[in-house]
Amino acid sequence: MSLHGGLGWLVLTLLGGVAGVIAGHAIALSVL
Amino acid sequence: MEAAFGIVGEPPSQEPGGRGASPRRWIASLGVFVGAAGFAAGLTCTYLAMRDLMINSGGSCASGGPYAVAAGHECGSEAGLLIAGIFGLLIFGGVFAAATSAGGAPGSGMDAGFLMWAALFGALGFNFLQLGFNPPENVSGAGGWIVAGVIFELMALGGVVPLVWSAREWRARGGAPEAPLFRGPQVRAKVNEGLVYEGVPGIAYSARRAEPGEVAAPPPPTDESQASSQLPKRLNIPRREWRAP
Repeated sequence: MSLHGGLGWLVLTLLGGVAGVIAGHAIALSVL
Repeated sequence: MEAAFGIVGEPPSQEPGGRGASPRRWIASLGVFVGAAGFAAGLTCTYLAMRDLMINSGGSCASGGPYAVAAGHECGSEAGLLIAGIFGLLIFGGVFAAATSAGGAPGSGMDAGFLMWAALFGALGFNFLQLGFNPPENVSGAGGWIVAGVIFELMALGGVVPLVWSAREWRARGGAPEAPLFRGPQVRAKVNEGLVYEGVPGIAYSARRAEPGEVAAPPPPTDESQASSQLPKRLNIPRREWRAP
């Protein structure tokens, strides 16, 4: 399989991670 | 997003235009995104709640029960956020690792585990180190946090090192999926090879070397792909075509 396969996983992980950090900040700010 | 994974052994898409739209690809891709987002959100909540607890309560708090809680150590909303964050990162971390494993790229679910391990201990270790070197005003004895921070960062290295190793191997393969560890039988029984059995099969018998012209257990196959079908089902029972002399 091509390099594309691994890069897809990496991109999804990074996108999810950034979205999660933003969401986590929003949750924490609303709770604390 | 459907082309994010190269799943080993999966037949190519039959749809017009070559769009791979198998449910497994979709679910794996979605699982990676949702798992990574949930894990990151849980870790962020844990990180911020831990930081709040360390700054405002010196790292420990209590509430309820028959004892009077020392001033400044009453648990607030940060305790609930800390616990919820830990459970969240564990659950979504499992989703992330499972989806990565199901997708089959670039390495394995182990790589996802190493990544989360490094992120978890690296982030929380940073809290310990930063607040250990710059302790809040009302906290004494924050030197212990430095020790905890060093240990946490060393533990984070235990995830970073195999992750870097795995990334180097991935680059060396040119992005190809990892070769399967097992391609055929790893151990082959040789107990009845070239032997002739005498007596009652499976109950009371003895074995001797086959004379020329006698039917004996066949030698191991040379073709690796046929190896498993040639193996005897039981190690000590003659093959079915064997007949008592």
